[in-house]
Amino acid sequence: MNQAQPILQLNNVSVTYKRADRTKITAVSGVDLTLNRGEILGLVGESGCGKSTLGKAAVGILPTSAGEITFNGKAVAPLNSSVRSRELLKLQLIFQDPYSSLNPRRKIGDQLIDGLLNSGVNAEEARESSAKLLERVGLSRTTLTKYTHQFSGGQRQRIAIARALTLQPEVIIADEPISALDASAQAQVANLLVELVQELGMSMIFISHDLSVVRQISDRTAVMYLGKMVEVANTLEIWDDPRHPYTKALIKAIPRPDGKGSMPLELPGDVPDPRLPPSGCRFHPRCPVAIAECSVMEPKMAPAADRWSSCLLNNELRKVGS
Amino acid sequence: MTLLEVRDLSVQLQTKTGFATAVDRLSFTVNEGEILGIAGESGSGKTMTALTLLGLLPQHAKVSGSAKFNGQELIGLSSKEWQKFRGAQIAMVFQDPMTSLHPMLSIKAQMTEHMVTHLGISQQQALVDAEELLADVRIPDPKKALNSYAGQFSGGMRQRICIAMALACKPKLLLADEPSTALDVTVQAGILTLLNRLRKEHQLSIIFITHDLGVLSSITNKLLVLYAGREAESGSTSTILQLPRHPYTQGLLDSLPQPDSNEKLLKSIAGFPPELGKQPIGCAFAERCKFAAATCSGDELLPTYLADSHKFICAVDPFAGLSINQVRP
Amino acid sequence: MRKNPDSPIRQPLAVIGVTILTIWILIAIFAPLIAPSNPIAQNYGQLLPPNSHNWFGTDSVGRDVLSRVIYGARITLPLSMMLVILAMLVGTVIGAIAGYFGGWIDAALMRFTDVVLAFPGIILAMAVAAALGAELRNAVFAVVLVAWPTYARLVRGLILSSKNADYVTSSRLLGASTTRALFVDLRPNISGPVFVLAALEAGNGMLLLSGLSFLGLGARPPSAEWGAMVSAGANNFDKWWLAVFPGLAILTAVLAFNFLGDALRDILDPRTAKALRE
Repeated sequence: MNQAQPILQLNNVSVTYKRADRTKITAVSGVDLTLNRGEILGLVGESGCGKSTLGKAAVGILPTSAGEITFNGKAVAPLNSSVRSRELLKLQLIFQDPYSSLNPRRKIGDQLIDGLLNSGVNAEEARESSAKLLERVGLSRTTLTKYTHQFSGGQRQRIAIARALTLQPEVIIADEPISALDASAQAQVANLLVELVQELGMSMIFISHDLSVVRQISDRTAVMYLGKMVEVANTLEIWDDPRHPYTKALIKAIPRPDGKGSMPLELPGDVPDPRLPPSGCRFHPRCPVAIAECSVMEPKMAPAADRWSSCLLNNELRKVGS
Repeated sequence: MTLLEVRDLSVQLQTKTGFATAVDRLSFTVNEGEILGIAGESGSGKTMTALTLLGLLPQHAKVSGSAKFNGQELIGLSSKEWQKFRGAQIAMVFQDPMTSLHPMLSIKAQMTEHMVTHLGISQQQALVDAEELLADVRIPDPKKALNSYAGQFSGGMRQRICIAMALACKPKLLLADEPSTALDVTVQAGILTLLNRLRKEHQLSIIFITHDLGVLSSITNKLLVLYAGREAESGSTSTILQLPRHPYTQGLLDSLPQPDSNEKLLKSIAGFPPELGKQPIGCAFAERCKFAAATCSGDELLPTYLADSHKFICAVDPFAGLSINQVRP
Repeated sequence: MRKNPDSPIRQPLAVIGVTILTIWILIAIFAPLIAPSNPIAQNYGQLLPPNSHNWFGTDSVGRDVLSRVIYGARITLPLSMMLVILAMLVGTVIGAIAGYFGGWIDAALMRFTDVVLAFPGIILAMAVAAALGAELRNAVFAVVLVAWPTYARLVRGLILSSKNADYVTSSRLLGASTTRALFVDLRPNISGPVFVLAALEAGNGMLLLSGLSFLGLGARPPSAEWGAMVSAGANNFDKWWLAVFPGLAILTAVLAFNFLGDALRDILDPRTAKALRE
C-alpha cells in the first residue's frame, strides 16, 4: 500500500450515556483513531472496554459527548429523526447478533432492498442486485423469498453482510461479527468479510475480543482498555512486540491449540466500574509492572506516525534511551 | 480408575417429522482425575450427551446404550433415582453465568439450600462449607460474597461461584458445557487454571464441552471430536491436536487463526453441518470434505484403531503415515 | 399474515370459533331467506311459548322471536366489527405515535389513555351514550371511546420494545426515514398482536354494545338488536324464551370471537407457535 489516506477519523472522541438509574457512564473517553483507505483495522479489548460503543458512535448510532468524527472529511451526524445524508450511507455497520439485526417478520428480500428503495432505485433492479449480493455471500437467490428463521447463525450473518453492502459502502464497521457464530462458521464469515473488503475496495474496522482472529485478518490493531486507547500499531508488530502491559496480558491469555497442554495466563482482577475509573493509568490496578507514578500520572499517547502505546514505563524507557 | 464408561450411547429427539438421531452410538470413558474434552459445533450432539449424563433430556427423547458411573448403570434410572446422582455425584456448570444464578436470591441462600438437602448437614455447617468453597475457587472475601447477589459480581466471578456451587456436594464428575465461552480471554484463562487445579487437588473428573480447540488443548487429557452426533475422532489431546487423522479435526484446526501465518484469510471448511435428522449414512462430513471418495457414503464406516487409544472414523484416511510437519506445516 | 404450512388451524377451538362465526355471518347475509317471518310484523299471538310454528316463541307484541334473532345478526355483527376496526385504528395510531416519539408526546398521550382506562368501561360508555342520545350510532361511538386505550397500550409497548432493535437501527443506517422505519420495520411486529387483541376484544365490544342496548341506550324498540331483545325479555322474566334465545345468540357469537382470538394468538405468537411445531 502506498501513502495512507485517512477515510474515517476520530479525534478525541468521548461517549457518555445515562443508564436506567440515571448515573452517567463515560464508555469512551478521549479516543483518537484513524482508519485508512483500503485498510482493515482490528479493534480489541475486554467486554466493557468501550469498543462496541466506539463502533456505534463512529457510524452515528450513539451521539458523542466530545470530539469529532469525520468520514471522507465530513462530520458524521448522529442518527436522529432526520434521514441520513447520501454521503453517510457509504458508512455502514454490521451487528454482532444476526438474530437481532434482521427482522424475523419480514421476508429477507424485502429487507435487502430497503436501502436501495430509499435511494430511489426501482424495486425490480433492487431485487436483482440484492440477489447478486446474496450469491456473492454464498447463498442462493431463493433466499429473497424466505424468512430468517429458516437460516443458521452463520447464514444469517451472511444475509446481514449482504444487507450492509447493498449501498456499496466505503467503510464497514463490523461489531463482533463472528463471536456469536459456530467454530466453522466463524472462519467462513471472517474470510468473507476480508474478501469483500479487498474485492470492493472497502475499508473496515473489525471489532473483536478475539485477538488471534484480529491478528490474522487485520493490517493494524488498536487495543482499548476501559474507554481509552492503550496501543495502536501494525498488527504484526503488536503481536511480535507488544509494548503495553495490557496488550501483553491479552496475548498471553489466548489458549493455543498446539496439543502441548500449555496453560494460558490469567490477568487477575476485573475491569473496573467505568463510573469510577482508576486515577492515573486506568490499567494500573491490574498491571503486573505498575510503579508508583502509574496511579498518579495519566500516560499520554503521543500520536506518533504508526505506533502508539500509552504506558508511562515505555515513555520513561524511551526517555532513558534517548 | 474408570469413573464413567459410556457404550453405544444414542439419543433420539422427537421432531415434527418423527425421531431424529442427535447422538449416534457414542462410546467413551472418563477416568478419575481426568479431563475429557468433547469438541463439536452446535448440533454435534455434545450438549445432548451431557444432558443424558444428568438425566435431563427432554421427556420424549429415546435413549439407548449404556452409561456406567462407578459401575452403576445410569440409563433407565427413574427421576427419583436420578436425584441421588445429579448434583451429588455428577454436577454441571453451564455456559452462561449470567442466567445460571438466581438474581433475587443471595449467594448464601442458593449455595446452602441444596447442601442442606443433599448432604443432610446443618445450616451452620453448610455456611462454613460454603465459605470454604468460595475461598477454594478464589473469590475474594467469601464472607461478604455469601451475603451478596449475583448482580454484584462480574461474569468471571459468577462463573467461579457457579463452579463452587457445583462442587458443593463433592461430586466426582463435573460436566462443564462451554463454561468459558461467554467470558473474556483474560478471565477464561483464570477459569481454566481453576478447573485444572480442582482436578489435581480433588481428583475431580471433568467433561469439558466446547468448540474451542485452544481451550481444550490447554486443559484436557483426552479428546472426543463429534460431528453431527457421531464420533469423528478420539484419543489423547496431544496426539489429536498434533497429528489429527480425521479431515474434520484437521479442518477445525486449520480454520483457527494461525499464529505464524502471513495469510490474510483463514482456512475455513466450506459448507454447513447437516440438519438434525438429515445425517447421511456413512460419513456425515463427506459432503464438506475435500478428500471425500465413493467409499465415504452409503455404507456404515468402520473405525480405525491406532496406538495410544487413538481412534478415528474415516474411509479415506488422507493423513496416514504423515509426520507432524507434513500434516500441520 | 404469514402462511404456515406446518400449523393449519388444527386446534378444535379455532375450528369451532370459525364455524360459529361463519354460520352467523351466513345467517346475517341470508336473513330474509331463512327467517320464517318479518321481524317487526306482529303476526302472531302474544307471548306464545316455543311451538311447532314459532320455534323460539313470540314476544309481547306477537313477533316471531326466531325471526328477530336471525335479523338481529344483521345489526349486531356488522356493528361489532365496525367498532372493533375503529377502536383498533384509533388505538394503534395513538399508541404508535406515543411509543415511537416518546418524551412529552408519549407522556401526554399515555396520561390521556390512563384517564380513559380509569373509568369502568360500561359506565363511561353509558355516560357518553346518554349524553349523545339513545341511538345505536352513538352507542357504537361510546364503545369505541372506551375500547381504544387497550390497543394504544399494547401498540405502545410493542413499539417501545422493538424501536431500538438492531434491525430498525440497521434500516436507519440504510437511509430509512422515521415513518418508513415505523411503517415498514415495525408494522409486522405490531399487526399480529393487534389482530389477536381485536379478535379477543370483538366479543367484549359486542357485549358492551348489547349492554348499552339492554340499558336502553342503544337500539330503539322496534329494531331487533340482541341486547335490546334480552332487555325486553327481562321485563317478562317468567317468559324465559324472550331473553334466552337472543342471549344465546350473544353468547355464541362472543365465545366464537374469543376462541378465534385464542387460536390467532397461538398462530401469530412466534414462541407459542414454535413450541407447538417442535
